[in-house]
Amino acid sequence: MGLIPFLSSKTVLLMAEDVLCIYKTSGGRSKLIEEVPWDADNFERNVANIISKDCGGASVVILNDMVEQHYRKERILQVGIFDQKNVVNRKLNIAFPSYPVRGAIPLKERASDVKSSLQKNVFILAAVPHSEQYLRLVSAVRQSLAPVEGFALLPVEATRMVKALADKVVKEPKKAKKLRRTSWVVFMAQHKNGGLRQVVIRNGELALTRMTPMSDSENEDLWVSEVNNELKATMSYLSRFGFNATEDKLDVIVLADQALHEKVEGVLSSLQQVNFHVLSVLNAAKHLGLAAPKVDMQRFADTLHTSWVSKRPLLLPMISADVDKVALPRKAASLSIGALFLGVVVASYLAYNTSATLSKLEQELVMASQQKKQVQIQYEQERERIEALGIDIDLVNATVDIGKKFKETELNPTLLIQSLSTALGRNLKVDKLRISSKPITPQDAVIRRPTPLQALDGAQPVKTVPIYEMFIDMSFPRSVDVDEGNKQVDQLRQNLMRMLPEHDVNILQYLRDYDYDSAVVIDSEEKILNRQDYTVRISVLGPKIEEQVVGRR
Amino acid sequence: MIEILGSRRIVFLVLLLLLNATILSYWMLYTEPQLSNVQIQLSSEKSQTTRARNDLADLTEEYSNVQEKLDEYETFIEQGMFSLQERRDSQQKFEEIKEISNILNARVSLSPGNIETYDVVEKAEHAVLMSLIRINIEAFDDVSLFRYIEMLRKEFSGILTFKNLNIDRVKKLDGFTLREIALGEMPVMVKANLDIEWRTIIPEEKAVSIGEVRR
Repeated sequence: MGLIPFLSSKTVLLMAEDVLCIYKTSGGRSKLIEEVPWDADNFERNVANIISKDCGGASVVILNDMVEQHYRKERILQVGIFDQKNVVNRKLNIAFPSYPVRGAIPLKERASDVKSSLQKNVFILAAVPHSEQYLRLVSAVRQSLAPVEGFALLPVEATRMVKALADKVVKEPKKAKKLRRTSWVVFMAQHKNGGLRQVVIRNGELALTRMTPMSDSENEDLWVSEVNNELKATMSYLSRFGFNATEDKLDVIVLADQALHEKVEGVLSSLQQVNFHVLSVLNAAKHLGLAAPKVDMQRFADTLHTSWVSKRPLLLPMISADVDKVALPRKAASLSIGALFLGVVVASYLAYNTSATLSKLEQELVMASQQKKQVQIQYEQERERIEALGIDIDLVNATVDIGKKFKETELNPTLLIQSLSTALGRNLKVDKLRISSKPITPQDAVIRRPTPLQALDGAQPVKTVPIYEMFIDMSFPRSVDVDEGNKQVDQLRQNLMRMLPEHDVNILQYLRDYDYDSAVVIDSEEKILNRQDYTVRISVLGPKIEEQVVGRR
Repeated sequence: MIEILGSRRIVFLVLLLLLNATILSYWMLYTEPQLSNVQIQLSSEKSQTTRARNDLADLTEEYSNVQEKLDEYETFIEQGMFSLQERRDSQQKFEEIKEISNILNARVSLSPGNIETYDVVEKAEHAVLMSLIRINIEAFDDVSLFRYIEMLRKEFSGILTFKNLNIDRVKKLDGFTLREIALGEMPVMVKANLDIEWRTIIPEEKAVSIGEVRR
């Protein structure tokens, strides 16, 4: 049924005078399927069956090759692009008020007899009558349910073919092409139904078309003579269309059987200033890049036209309400089918893609779950093994860390007193000893740098803080020599520094005379009765340790 | 419309439409939500695996670290690190130390225990119990005083942190003092004040009960 039009071939319905020729085309090859006389019984049903069954429901192109075709060359006012269509339609209404099937095609030609550039646009207006054949055909197409591409006129659609063929067969120097004013080509070919179709193009555009009957006789001389007569008749028309035999160039292409080529050339060469090209259908198809048609006679051009039309979009799709009524819904349906088909493809791709990713991720998930279980099992086994040893890791860590924290900053009074005792020796005595631990604060931190010798061994500076301070108060009898006493004090400092490395030892007060804060009793006989002892004060700060690491909340 | 388009074409259109709807529904309502579900699950599984792996590594590392700490831990246990600071036991211990050290007098005041919290201890579901000890000592000589202090350090459970130690020689060894000694008296020659923080580690439930009693 041709549900997916872009994948199928085409059906070309060639409307001839007596019959409807049904062609099936595919890949530039055209094949005649059936010829159905217009007056055949059950015409519509038969044609519909042929289209839907024999032609596979391929999209239909209706090509009118009947005699009754009306053409008018008209100047149409140039307006804006949006209004142009309305103006052309109005012109068509005026030109062909009683012909409902019509169309217009603009020409490159410009009107030379008007001054205003707005009126120089020239169109060919075309129309065909609402004939019984046309109505029957539309009905048949409706019944066939095949998509409809359009309704077109064979002479108009053949214009491009004739030009393409002329470009191939007519050899002309470039200089001559420049000098020449107008180029005319007459294409003459017989159709299978018996008529001789002539298409005349002027500078590549349709100028004239004629359809004349040919005798059914198989007499070759008669055929050649009829062709000659028709050409002469056409030549006589050409002058009315502006052909100037002295300035313009005229090429005539005739399709004929291979055997008639010499005869045709011989007869036609009597015409002056005309270039003749006699070709067989096979040669013409070859020049046009079409597949070789299978025909009985090499002069019948039907397959050439149908092949050409099926390979290209229509040059002039005729406006017809009857055809549109069938064609537009089917075109819309075809487009919808195409879009839905594309949708299915895209949606399938997306669904497949997502499913594939999902499947891959699900596999990864299974593997990840297995890995997790394995690691958890290992963890539990390790934990059970450790628990079996009866060790509470957290408690061990807590105990050791807390123990170390306080041990590291511990004030060891015994050690201090022993060191002090050794440093004092036998002679010196302490009156007061004050030892107090210092709260560890960042302000007390000092940087201890290594000695040059230690630095050579790689020692680094250490940030340290003192953890306690000690004050030693001593007294010396008044009888002691001050200098000697001070020497002993200095010696004590040296001893302390030796005994307590990492400590700061400072003498705050040496042996001295009375200060204003000392109590004194003076007697005239003894001068000074209550002679006070000398007092000495020493401070020890330390030891300096690295800043502690275990924080308290 | 059926006459123009034909029933087959319409059925085909409807079928294509249904096929589109089915595939799109399958994609949008099943695979896409399922995909994001699986992605979330996978990400969760992976992060859980990583966490479990890290936990395992930590456990192994902790275990090897703990092996190194075990000796110290045993020492702390021997030192009575987990003592509950029973006041009656403490009293006995102070008496024993006083007797052995041969000091003349020691007045000991023991404050109620306070709970100190440390992250590392809390993780082990324990707490640190800290009591302040103030001791006023009178001694005949400094040797007995130093013996008292040393015994405190060695014999007392847990960790003792000496905050302050003040020692004063209150008498000189003059003739008067020597006479007192000759008469068999033991004069107070040295006085000392000690401020000590006493810490032990106790189970968390004990710490809670101490807190409740305090409140």
